[in-house]
Amino acid sequence: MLSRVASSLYWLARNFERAETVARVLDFACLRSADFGGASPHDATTLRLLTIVGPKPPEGTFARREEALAYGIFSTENPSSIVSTIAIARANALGVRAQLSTEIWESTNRLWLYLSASSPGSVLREGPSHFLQRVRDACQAFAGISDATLAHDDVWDFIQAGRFSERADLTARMLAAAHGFDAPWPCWQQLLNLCCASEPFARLVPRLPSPVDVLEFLTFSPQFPRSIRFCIGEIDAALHRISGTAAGSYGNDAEKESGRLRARFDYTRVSEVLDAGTQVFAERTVASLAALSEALERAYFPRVPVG
Amino acid sequence: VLEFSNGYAIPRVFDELVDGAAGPRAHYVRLAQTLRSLDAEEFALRVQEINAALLARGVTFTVYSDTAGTERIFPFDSIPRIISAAEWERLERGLAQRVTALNAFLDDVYHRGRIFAGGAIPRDLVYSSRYFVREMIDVDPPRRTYVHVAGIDLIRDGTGNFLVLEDNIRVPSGISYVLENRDVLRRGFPQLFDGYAVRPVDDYPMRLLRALSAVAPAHVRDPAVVVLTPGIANSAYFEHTLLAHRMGVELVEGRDLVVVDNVVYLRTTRGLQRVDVIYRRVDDEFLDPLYFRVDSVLGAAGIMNAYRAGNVTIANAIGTGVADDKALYRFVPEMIRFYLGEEPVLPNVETYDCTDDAERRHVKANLERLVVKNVNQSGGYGMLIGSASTAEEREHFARLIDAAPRDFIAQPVIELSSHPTLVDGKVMPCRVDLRPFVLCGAEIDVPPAALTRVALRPGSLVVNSSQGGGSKDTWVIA
Repeated sequence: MLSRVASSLYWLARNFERAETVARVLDFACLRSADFGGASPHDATTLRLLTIVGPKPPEGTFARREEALAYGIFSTENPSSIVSTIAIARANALGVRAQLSTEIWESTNRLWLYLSASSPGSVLREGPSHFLQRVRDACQAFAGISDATLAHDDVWDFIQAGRFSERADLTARMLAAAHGFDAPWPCWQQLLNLCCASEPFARLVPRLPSPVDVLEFLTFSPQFPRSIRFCIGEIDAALHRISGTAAGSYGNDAEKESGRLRARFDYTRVSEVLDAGTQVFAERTVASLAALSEALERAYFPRVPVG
Repeated sequence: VLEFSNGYAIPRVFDELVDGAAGPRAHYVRLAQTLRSLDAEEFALRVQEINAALLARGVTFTVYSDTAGTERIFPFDSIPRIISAAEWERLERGLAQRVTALNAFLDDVYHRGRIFAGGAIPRDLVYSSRYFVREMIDVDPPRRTYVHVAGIDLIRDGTGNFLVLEDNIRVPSGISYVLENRDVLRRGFPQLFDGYAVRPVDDYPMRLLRALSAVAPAHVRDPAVVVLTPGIANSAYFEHTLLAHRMGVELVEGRDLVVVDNVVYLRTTRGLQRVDVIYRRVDDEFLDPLYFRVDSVLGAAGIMNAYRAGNVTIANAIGTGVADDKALYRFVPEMIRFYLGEEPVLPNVETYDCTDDAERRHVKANLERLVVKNVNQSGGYGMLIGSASTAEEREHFARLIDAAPRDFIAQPVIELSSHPTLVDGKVMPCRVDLRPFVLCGAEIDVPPAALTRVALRPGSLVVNSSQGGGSKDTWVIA
């Protein structure tokens, strides 16, 4: 596979994953401000939520909910806005159109056309929640369509690597930011909602839950597809399928990083996380994932010229 | 009921469907019946759906003059154009003859130049062409083939004879519309096909791959073919993707290529992979910054050396543009006579040479009856249609011609044939041209896949996509 193609597939998936999370976070922020009657000036939580999924917005940007929405959805200065991420995703899809199924391309293009036809005004008229739901549906459709219509060869493997790299990173960032979510909702319930995890959590952890259970679930659950451990397992598996190297060994730095991370998450107890401090642990995880991402880039799509 | 507009009461030009008062031509009778049975509103609705589907699919081109780089669809007209078997047979012969002669001419001008000795073509006209590439002298492309893909533009004169308007033998585009138009028409209006045996177009990509594989460097057994695109911002990017996808080959950009020791490779996730044939959709001047434009990032440094060393085939060959230079167009019939000893099957449009004093005077005196074309421009840009021009525009062109006679040719205004086309819910006679594609690998191949472009403004003679043209599905019937 062309290095450029591998890179595009990887970033295509990462940006879709990010757009989905941004849509979820914004929806969450909207619902929260509805709780406060829509008037929570300079809402600190909205601000912190947006910071999880992207760069810190400029000081004093959001006097009103509409401004926060416009920034999170439409700002071209915000590389994590929905429009920015989907524009990147579409440009990547366009560059590798020949490798993608028609269904993937068309659903990507439809989402992009829908966003191009939207504006802050139209979002308010349509209802932000409805709009954000459509974006989330389209992003989830990307995940489903790519699973169902692509051959599960290295095209799909690079998509998997991108998707789970972004997901692991976002979950780790949520954990890092989680320590201070304010009342009245218990912090852990918010965190579960933000991670799309409340229902699976309720089903898989059937006793009266404690905050430590949430931490353990989001970090170590082998079944929940957004837990950091689950994501790292998928990245590691995809990388080994791509190279053909046997599981448990490594052929390049990316596999070495993913193997180490996998071992760390397979063989760590939640009490050890608490000992280290949740935030320290989460931040270290974010750094390790960044190192893995860089190693993957060096192994498969180096920017340096061939010498 | 779908109504034919008043424009159809007295057709002024040759119409593809209606034979004057005699009614529909024989091969259109059935289609005319089906069209009359359709409900006009439903028809228009279905057409809208088809155009929306084309936009979602991204069957688009980019308008360069539009700074936003807007992607637009090439509007699709749902009334198909039909070419009878007998007519197609003649076109096939004429096109094969023409492309054979053009190949022979290119081989000749980049080698001995026999045709100059006979005086059939002025030597300086060739060497002064901006498309003449000195670096190609004495290079021997496999099978001595230069033109692997040609898109020859044909029009009809007032009596219905096909004439060649232009030879596009650098990087002709449009085949993706042929494939997509057939697909959407078959889905949207299956009933139109009733009673017709339409020759399929969907094997075009495989025929192209066969032609490209046949011209691989001689030592290669199982050639690796790639499509080289300038990238997603290019006007025909959709087509590049479609062809690569349907041929099952890699679509590459210049940055995917690297030349090491005169061999072209792809940068892949498993290291470097050798490339044997490059179907390039990048113009000559952007192919290699070492030889041509130094600021180009669309090609790869060293590709020309690899080509000259015979390690890679570039299709079409570099330097083919000299044979479709508009200033040389009028000599193509001479090429056919000189190299093949035959008379042209498909005649040219009469063309005046502005470098000749007498002809230039004639051109300047008759501008309102002529079409003047700048030989360095295409796509409907930089031309004067005398009958639709103002006195000021004509004066402006007269000055331009005097300043640089080599840059202009003039032709009489050819009316072009008309074809029933849906405009604002009415069937109007709109002008059409025809671009069949010719492939040349081991032998000449003329697939029954031709693009009909239609001027969607009734009366307009300009069919180019960049100038408000649309397209039609084109049926070659068995």
